[in-house]
Amino acid sequence: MYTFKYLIRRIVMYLITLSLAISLNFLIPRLIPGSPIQQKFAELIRMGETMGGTEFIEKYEKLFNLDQPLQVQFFYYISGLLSGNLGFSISYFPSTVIDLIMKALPWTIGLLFTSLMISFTCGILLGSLMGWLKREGRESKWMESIWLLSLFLSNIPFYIFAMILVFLLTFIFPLFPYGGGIDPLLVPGTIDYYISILRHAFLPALCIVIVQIGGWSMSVRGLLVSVLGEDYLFLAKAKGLKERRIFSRYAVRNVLLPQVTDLAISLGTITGGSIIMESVFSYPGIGNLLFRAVKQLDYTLIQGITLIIVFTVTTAALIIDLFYPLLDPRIGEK
Amino acid sequence: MKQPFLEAQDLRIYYRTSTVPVKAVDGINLAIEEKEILGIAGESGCGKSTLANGLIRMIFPPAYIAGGRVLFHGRDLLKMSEEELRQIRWKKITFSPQASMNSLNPVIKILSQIQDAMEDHDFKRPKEEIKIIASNLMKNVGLSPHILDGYACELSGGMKQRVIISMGMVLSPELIIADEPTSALDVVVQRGVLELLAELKERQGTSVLLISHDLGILAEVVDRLAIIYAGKILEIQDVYEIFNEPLNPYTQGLISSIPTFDKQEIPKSIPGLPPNLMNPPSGCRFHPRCPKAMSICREKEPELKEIDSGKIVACHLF
Amino acid sequence: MIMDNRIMGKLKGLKVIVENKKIFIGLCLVLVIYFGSLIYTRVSPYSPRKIGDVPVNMPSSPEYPLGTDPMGRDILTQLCYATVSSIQVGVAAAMMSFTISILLAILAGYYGGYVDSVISMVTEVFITLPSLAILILIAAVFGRVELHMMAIILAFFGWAFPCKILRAQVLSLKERGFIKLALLSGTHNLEVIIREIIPNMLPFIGVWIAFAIVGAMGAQAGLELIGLGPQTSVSLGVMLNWATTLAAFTRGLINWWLPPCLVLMFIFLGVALISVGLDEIGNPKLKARR
Repeated sequence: MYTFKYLIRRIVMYLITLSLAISLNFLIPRLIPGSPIQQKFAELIRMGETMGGTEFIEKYEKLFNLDQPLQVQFFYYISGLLSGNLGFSISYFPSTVIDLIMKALPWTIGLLFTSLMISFTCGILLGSLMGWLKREGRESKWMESIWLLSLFLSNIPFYIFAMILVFLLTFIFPLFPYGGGIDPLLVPGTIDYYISILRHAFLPALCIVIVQIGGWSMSVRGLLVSVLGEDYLFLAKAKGLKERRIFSRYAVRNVLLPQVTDLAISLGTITGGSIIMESVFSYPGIGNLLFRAVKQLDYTLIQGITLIIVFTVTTAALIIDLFYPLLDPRIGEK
Repeated sequence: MKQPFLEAQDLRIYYRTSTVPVKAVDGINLAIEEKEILGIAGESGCGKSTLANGLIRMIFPPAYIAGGRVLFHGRDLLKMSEEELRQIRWKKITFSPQASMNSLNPVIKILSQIQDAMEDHDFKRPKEEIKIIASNLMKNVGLSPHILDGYACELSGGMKQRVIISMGMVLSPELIIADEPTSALDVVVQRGVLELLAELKERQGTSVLLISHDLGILAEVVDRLAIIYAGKILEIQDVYEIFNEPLNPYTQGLISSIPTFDKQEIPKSIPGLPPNLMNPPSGCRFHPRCPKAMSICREKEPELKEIDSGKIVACHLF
Repeated sequence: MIMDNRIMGKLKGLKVIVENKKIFIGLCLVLVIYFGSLIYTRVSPYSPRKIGDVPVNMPSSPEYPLGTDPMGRDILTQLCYATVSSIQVGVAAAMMSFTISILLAILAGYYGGYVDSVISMVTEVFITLPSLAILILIAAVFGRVELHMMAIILAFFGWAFPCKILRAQVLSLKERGFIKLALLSGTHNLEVIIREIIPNMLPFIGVWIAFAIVGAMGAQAGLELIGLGPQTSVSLGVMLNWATTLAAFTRGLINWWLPPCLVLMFIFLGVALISVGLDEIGNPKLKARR
């Protein structure tokens, strides 16, 4: 079953990915000539600000260690990372990057986690049923339309669907609030507080769920149809097993496991789409924070957020990959 | 004469194509008696597996049942409801498919796969008892009971085959349909499987329908042997008789193509190729390749009839 | 003689492709959108970006079929230029990334061994990396990203996933009898690849090119939406960015933000249909049972 070799290999992959991400994260902003501070100041000056001058730039550069050679900067960077210090935000100074991220991260994680759970389980159920009913020609006309609808929905980027949802459910039928994570006037801990969180999170969650269900159910359906052609299903029927058992333990069980690997792989893409989507909803998560950081050219913040995103996604994928062999006895032997 | 409890009458199973259907099984009459091992021999692609599947109505598109009956204790299996048939499958008639490399569910334990058949046939027992029954089954086929806690991917091809056969015995069925149970195994394991089948017949009175292209295998263990060619049965005889005195020219050709120790000459093969089942030859299907063909063989199909006690043949020579 | 057969084979193949309903509809959708927009950009008298070209905020009328935006530009013209740009960048990025994918997939799958291990590892790393986050970082650092840079950056991350799948395809094809036969009869490796392996992968190649295009266009529009797009040209995501920055929702300017959304949705639908159709051809689902 679970071999040591598989474990080692997976963890090594994880560490390589992380190292690459950290290095990229460090190098990319430093590839452009001139420091981020100079860039920022150039931008500010273009917008009409006239404060400071060269001493100001020097002072800030010293603060952010930008006057040191690259290796030294890297050293400060890594030691900072290990102690959880991601530096100061340039635009929200004196707030630290890590503070800002920690305020926003729970929103994103809560949203993504719930939406993914819902869409994954519903997608598997829906896809399995669609695949199961397809055999022996029990397909009906409106199975085809459901399939077409799933195809259509699964290919819409989150942010596009978000715009349409906002328009329909906020402006035309004002059922949900437009933007934000919560009504700022509420007191934490009250029922109203939690209801407000749910109301604000509903649209982004709905957006992710609808688009993802389409995708999952289509791929599950395909997998189920191919599983149906397998020899062990033939024998299951020859064994005179009850239909429900064949469906759940022989068909769906064999489809579940490849789908979980798919989930691990698509975490990166889903997170990316969700990030852009947050800006449409002004949802106070990581995505929105990134959006604002980009607008204000806050490089330390951008760097920090990118790093945290990469770290979270790769770690989540690792956890899923480590769980997977426990469900499927075939993996872990390879 | 023992009473046959499973009878195929004029069974026809065809495959739909974009043009003419392929007549894989075209009017087969077969009867299996209690406590006997009936062998079915034939070349590849002559309809053996389709016949085996058809007997328990495991026919899926593009194949379809075009006619005939399969009487099990007098009741037509082909006309039963799905639920009635489900209850018969495995409980009364067990099936061991060809090349069972992929026939075990890869993601659940072997024990569960024995257990679920029992549960779904209302054979409820406490967990410990099930474990003991399963262990005994494994020991009967020469496997260690500890594989019950493992998965299919841990077993070799031969072990999987034996697991499936022994799984089939769990409800003490009346008939085992074994489709090429030995073709993917090495000779030592082959022998083990054949001995097992013989033992089952002796000790538990189970009948076996053994399908193979290998006459040597069949000769070892069957009581009666049926020869199938191009979707039709050409001869059914007691196994010793059929080797001593094959009646149908096709059978004669088959037997003389087996190399033996006493004959020094090169065995003769049957000239020509098996016919296209979309457009089979008129009259007797074997006539284009038959050394004893007469003009009537081209025009009229010979009937399968019993010319003497225990000798059933379809040929215009008789 | 052999050449004739080959050409006949290819024509027959094309016929099968076009006859497939899904591919046909998908292809029509995409081609109509692209060429329709292209033609309109040549025909339209208005400019897509020039501020104050026409009166602001006009509702839809025969003169301005989709009305005008708050900066004084005809929306339909804008839309058509945007569509053409987006599709061109998407296709360019997809082509670049796909070339990388297929090259690496063949190298890894066909030659195996050490080369395969290295390529596989790199592919795995790139797949798990959340590319959009890094794309945002790169784009932010370079400031506004012009279209050609956009295509290159997108290609840099989009190659990984198709590469993994295509490599699996190459591996399974390599094991098939006819490949071994070709090698045994003395055909050169390169010839085997070009003559035997690639033609058998064509439906899958089509599917993954489609995937690459959709991925590139989606990432592109997403980057543009949050403000990292080009400054000197207009594309679909840029239109959406303008619309959201100028509060198109609250001002009820549905004729400005909805058309780019619809165009993207329908292009994606078209491409998805083509890819599903190609998939059906490559994997005939009708497997005869026993």
